[in-house]
Amino acid sequence: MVLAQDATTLDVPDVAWSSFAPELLLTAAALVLLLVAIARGRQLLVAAPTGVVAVGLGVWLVSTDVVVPGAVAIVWGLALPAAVFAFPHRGSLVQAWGAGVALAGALVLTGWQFVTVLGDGAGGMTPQSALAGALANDGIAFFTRITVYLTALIVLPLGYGYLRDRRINRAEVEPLLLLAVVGMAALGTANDLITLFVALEVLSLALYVLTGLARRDRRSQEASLKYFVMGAVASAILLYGMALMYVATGSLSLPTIGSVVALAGTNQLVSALGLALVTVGIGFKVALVPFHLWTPDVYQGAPTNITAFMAAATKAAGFAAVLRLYLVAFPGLQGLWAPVLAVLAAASMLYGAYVALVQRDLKRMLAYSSITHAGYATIGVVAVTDAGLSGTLWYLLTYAVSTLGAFGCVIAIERRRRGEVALVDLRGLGRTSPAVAGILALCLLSLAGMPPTAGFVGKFVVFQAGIEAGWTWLVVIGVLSSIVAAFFYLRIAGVMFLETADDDRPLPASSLGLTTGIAVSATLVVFLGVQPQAFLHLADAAAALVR
Amino acid sequence: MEIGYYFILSGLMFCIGLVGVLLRRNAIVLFMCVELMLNAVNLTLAAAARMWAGPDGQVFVFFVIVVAAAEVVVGLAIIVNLYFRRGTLDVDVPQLLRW
Amino acid sequence: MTLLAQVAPTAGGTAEVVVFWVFAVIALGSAIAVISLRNVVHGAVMLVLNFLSIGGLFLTLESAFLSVIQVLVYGGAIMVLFLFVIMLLGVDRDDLLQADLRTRVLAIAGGALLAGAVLFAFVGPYTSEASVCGPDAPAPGPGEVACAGLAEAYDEDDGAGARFLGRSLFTTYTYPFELAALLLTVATIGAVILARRRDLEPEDEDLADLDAAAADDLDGDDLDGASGAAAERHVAGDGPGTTERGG
Repeated sequence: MVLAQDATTLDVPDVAWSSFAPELLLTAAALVLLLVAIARGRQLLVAAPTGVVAVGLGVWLVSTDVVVPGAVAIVWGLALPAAVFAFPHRGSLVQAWGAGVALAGALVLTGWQFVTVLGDGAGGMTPQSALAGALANDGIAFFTRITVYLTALIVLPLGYGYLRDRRINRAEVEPLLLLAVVGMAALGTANDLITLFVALEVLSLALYVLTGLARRDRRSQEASLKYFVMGAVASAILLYGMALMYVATGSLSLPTIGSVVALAGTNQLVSALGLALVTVGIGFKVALVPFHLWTPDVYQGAPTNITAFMAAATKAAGFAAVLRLYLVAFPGLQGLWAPVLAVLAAASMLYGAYVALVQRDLKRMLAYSSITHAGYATIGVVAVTDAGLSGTLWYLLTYAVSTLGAFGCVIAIERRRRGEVALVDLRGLGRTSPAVAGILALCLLSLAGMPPTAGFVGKFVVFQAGIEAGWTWLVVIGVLSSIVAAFFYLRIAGVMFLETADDDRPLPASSLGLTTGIAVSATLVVFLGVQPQAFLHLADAAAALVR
Repeated sequence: MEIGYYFILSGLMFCIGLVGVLLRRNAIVLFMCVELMLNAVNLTLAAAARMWAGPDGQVFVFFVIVVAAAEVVVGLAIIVNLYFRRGTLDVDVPQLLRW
Repeated sequence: MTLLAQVAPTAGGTAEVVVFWVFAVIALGSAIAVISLRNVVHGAVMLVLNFLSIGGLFLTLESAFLSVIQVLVYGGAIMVLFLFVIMLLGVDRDDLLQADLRTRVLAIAGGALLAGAVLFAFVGPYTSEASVCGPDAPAPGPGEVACAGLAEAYDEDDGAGARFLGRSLFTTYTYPFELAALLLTVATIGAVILARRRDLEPEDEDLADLDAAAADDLDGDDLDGASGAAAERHVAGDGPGTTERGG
């Protein structure tokens, strides 16, 4: 440290804009959409200048040979005024289109990052850290971005009609959703404890609010409070664990902690205590048994599209943090945490599957299924191999598309009945609307891990990694839990196709957005199940870490 | 002053906050206990910053304070909303924490 | 702020020991008061005391700038918000302390377990002679931990550590700093969504339709849902001054 250093000699960090370009685009989009929402009748006043600036920026980027981001900026800059022109009096449609195009652009930018900045073609990737080590662009970051952006892109059309039906289509929903997505992506890239914590809080705060979106619905409000209280306590516990890690190692950067934590001079007791508290805190966030207590109530109470988003995207982001914490910062303590996580995973798989059996409410059942799936994803973490890492990343993607499809069908069946789709409501659905019933059955089969769906490939990859790493008992429990789950999902299929409908059962709602969202997820479920090679290869190529 | 006493003090404060979270059912009091826990963490971080003679711990304290402020805004808004909706601040902790 | 740093006890002195124990006793006492007092307002005041004593402890930790921030943000902004909400809702008496015996035993056992673990981890290596902060301390033995102290790290004219902190904040931690800005944006939007009494844009549905939707929303609720909604309408109707307890 230089003494009496002049303030003007501050080393300004080199800002590698490309390393967080997708998040930058989404943040800008969220703020502009917020302005559009405020402008109400005079949306063009916001949209036109934004479009001009974005197109100008894009042209400048293209002229400096940064073609893909430039093109994305131009497209978004043109799309926003176009949406305002096309839907002059439909504010929330403008919001949805603006957010959707931004998310699609973020997906494109992620691919661009992978190909030109990090990758040497399809053969693999060179992980990089940027912004003074605060941000890591590696396999976890890449896959988390893909999963989260894709999820949000599917949730947007799924939720549009639903929010309208329930009269909770607030103009701030899309900006908040985008900011939550930014928080999740930042969690996937976080490479030091501060970034990790702040990113976790960004997504958590946004989700607390989105959960309580239905202000007239008491269940939604209670879910919001429950989620908030549990989340705040979990954050505090996680934070104390991080602080103890800093006490033990003297560093906040995850790779540095990883290299220091196993040294003889590091106080093992303090780091073990920190590790235990971090495990409790992060266990809450990804809902592993016994830290899952908030999940069923919150999933049931939240608006269904938000539940879908939480189940698919938050799980992916939370596991990104798990992977990075345990595989980058704590690999030296593997002997301590691997058995504990394995026990938590086993408990989650068994308990989730068992309790899902006795549920009558479909949303609650899917909540317990999400607990089970957190257990499966953990198998890849405790394997502590590249195969396990890519397995978990791949599993989270397959789980995301399957659960999105399932929740999409719940939205269709639910219409305006608010969080209550009981098993009896599904009676005879196979006759009255075979498409919804078929897709719901398909997604449930994928959640149970039946071939030829995405869920089967996901489970197969994770189980394989587990067996290779010597966790045979854990994989056996996983298979048992899958059998229990499959039994229950097949029973739902039976209810839908074999029993007869009551007369006054309202038909499932259908709108263009809902149909599109469900169709896309169903297509992905089948496609990832039948043609997984390309994506599996991608996951293997992406199993690289900044260490 | 031995630096360990700061860690022990903050650890005890954290535990008191945790016990408060488990015992109390009033949402506002519960949230105050969470603030207690965050403050204990702040003390640990500031003491660790002194121990390691580095800025990281102090910067972390700074961020924790920002996060706490943001959390308070959203949390109290949720609490007020729910209170107007159902007229009690009981979060029903025994039911919540039935492990 | 420099003045504050000069007032602060220097590292290793007896003044530091005295100040530490005074503030430590206040901090622990007020923390216990927060979780045990039944009157919420008294609890909040005790929490302020706790925040202030933590601020005092920051002074002995050579972090005067943090101390000021702690007092300003926690003691000023956050606690005012707490007290404001307590007053707004009129919930100064808390009658919800009665946790059943099992919960009580579990909670205290859990807290004691964690406290024991903390003591077990820190007593010894972190409380030896070597862990006294400053250059005078003896070299640490095996398993013992040394404390470097911040006096060396600060610039000459930066007694409070503001420049020390700021330099790191805007170089190493630029990215989380920007994320924190995002966090505050999210909190603001969230508060606006939650606090607004009436939705801005019911879109192309008229108000009657909206009321029908509200009535429709109610029929799934449990018994006191209706009175809750009545309270909400009442509150929405006459804005400020409604401190009536709903439902």
